[in-house]
Amino acid sequence: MTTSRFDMKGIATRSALFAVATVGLLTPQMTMAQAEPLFIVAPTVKPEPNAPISAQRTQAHKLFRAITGVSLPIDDSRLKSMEALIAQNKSRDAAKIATNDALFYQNKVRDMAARMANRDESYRTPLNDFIATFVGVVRDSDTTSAKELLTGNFTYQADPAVIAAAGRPAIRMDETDDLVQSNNHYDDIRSNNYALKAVLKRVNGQRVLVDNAIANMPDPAGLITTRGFMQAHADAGTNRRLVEYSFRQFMCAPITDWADGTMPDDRVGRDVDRAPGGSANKYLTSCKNCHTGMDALRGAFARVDWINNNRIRYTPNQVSGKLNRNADQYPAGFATANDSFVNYSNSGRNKDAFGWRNNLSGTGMAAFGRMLADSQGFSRCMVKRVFESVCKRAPAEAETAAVRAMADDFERDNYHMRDLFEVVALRPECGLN
Amino acid sequence: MNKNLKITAQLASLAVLVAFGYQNCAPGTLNSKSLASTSDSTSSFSECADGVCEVVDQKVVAVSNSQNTLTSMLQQTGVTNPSNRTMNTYGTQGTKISETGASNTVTAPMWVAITTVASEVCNDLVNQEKALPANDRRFFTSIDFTKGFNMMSAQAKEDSIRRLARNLWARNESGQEKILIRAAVDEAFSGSTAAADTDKAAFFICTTMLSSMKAHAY
Repeated sequence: MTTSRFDMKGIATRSALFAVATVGLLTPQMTMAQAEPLFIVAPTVKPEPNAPISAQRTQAHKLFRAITGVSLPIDDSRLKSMEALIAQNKSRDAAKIATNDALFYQNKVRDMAARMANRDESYRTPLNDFIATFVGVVRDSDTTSAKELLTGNFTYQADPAVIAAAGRPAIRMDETDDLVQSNNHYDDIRSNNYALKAVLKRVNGQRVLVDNAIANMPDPAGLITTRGFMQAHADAGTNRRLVEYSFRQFMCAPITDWADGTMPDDRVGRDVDRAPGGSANKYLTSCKNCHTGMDALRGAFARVDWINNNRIRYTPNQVSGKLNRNADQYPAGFATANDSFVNYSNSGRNKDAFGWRNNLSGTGMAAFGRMLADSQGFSRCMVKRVFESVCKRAPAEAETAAVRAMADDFERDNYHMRDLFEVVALRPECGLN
Repeated sequence: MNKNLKITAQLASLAVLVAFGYQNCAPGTLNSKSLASTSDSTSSFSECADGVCEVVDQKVVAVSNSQNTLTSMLQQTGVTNPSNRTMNTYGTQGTKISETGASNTVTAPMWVAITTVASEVCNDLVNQEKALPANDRRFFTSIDFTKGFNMMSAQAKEDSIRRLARNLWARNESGQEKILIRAAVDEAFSGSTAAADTDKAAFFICTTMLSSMKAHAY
């Protein structure tokens, strides 16, 4: 079961907030010119009581706070740098100071990912591989397209070399005990309060239980096939939740938005009663609306399950039994025999809302993730999420055109997530100007 | 200390009332009114009287969420080594602070929790500053912690208020805010000659300002 507890263990250790001198320390993600501190420590900003506060400085403060979620003293050197750039009409460069700050990743990006990570959609979701990978992709936007959030075959983990170079004790990293079968690794990152910007490293190859041995995930789909997402949505049930929440989190489409009973129900499972309570009409007017689309896509997840309350299992030659349970409800219904899927959510309002681009059928989770990633719905959803995160409100209906324009720009910018935060923060609709 | 915290909590609640009272606004949107000195006004529209201007605007307002509240407080105050007590207080009070930071999630218990955490951060700050020579302090440069509150000059109080405003509120205090805070601290410690009350007065000013809406809203 997913958990959503307020996670305070991570900041209970006073010593975790001490700065560690890391001048000259290099990790693969660092440049030669700049070493990233392993901890975020508040600078001791001396107020300048008699200095004037320019409009540009106030603007800088608003911009930094909106992007990072943290308020700085008005005399902070970061704000002064941003002030100078804003005065030169270089607001974008000013925004980059904020998106380059460790606070951005530790707070704003982490919060955004945490809400997407489980059923409760809670900011208090403890750090896990889903959240860490999302943060890592945003940090590495220069080399990693946001589409890889749905198509990639990697996760982000703590870099042991960074931790060792800082003289800190090693954290738990056993593949079986701490990464595949538990969240220990990420619990340790959190409890030590390491700056995510500094400590995360991309690790290629997602690892899961394949049949009964840990191996490379044969069918990776970015965040969808992370342990965190699977724990939330592949636990028990019939794997329909994986479809529902993939759409909800990555297309910003709750099931009620895309339910469509006009499409064929040839792939609705045998466990769905066609006459609930003796009424066929109820199935036709209610149940069918959701199951038509959801069940047709569910096949993508036929070979995956969350087992023993702690791990993903992929069975390459076998459909998970949960997809065909309760077959006696309607024996003439669809029996899942493989991981094929069909996308029936492609007519009427759904066609416009999702903007599908590539094949609307396929096999497996990777193809499913690719279908979502290639759609306009995905880019629009990322814009909406960033907008809500930075501007502290959801885009209004009247701003749909603006959202779509930003999404088009996002795609042209090679799905650069960090740029998206900067662009959105500077939009007039965001109200920060 | 109990009296001080009670007064501080009342002031914090008053700050919330002023911010949200009689606004008749939809959730997440606020007709905000901030009191600003004329030199700080950055809005094109202001109503001024007696040198105090009300800057009227309409914008989305949110507050720091539970995940960011302590981070912000530490960045604002520059407390480099928060005490275990501060961390533990945040651990117990944090669940009462809004998860999302949406303005329509602000409640009185939440603001009491913020005030409680702010009081611990300010306790750390006062201890941090007291250990430094006056010239090295950032906020209480004009305060002599060896002398009683009755020896604390008006200039010393106002200097601290100004310095704290710039860090905690990211702006200068308005004339009215300065009057309000000074009156509160004078009332709380009137007649006191104990040096210990000087510490408490500094703590009081800090907590009042760090727990105010302005320190957390945006």
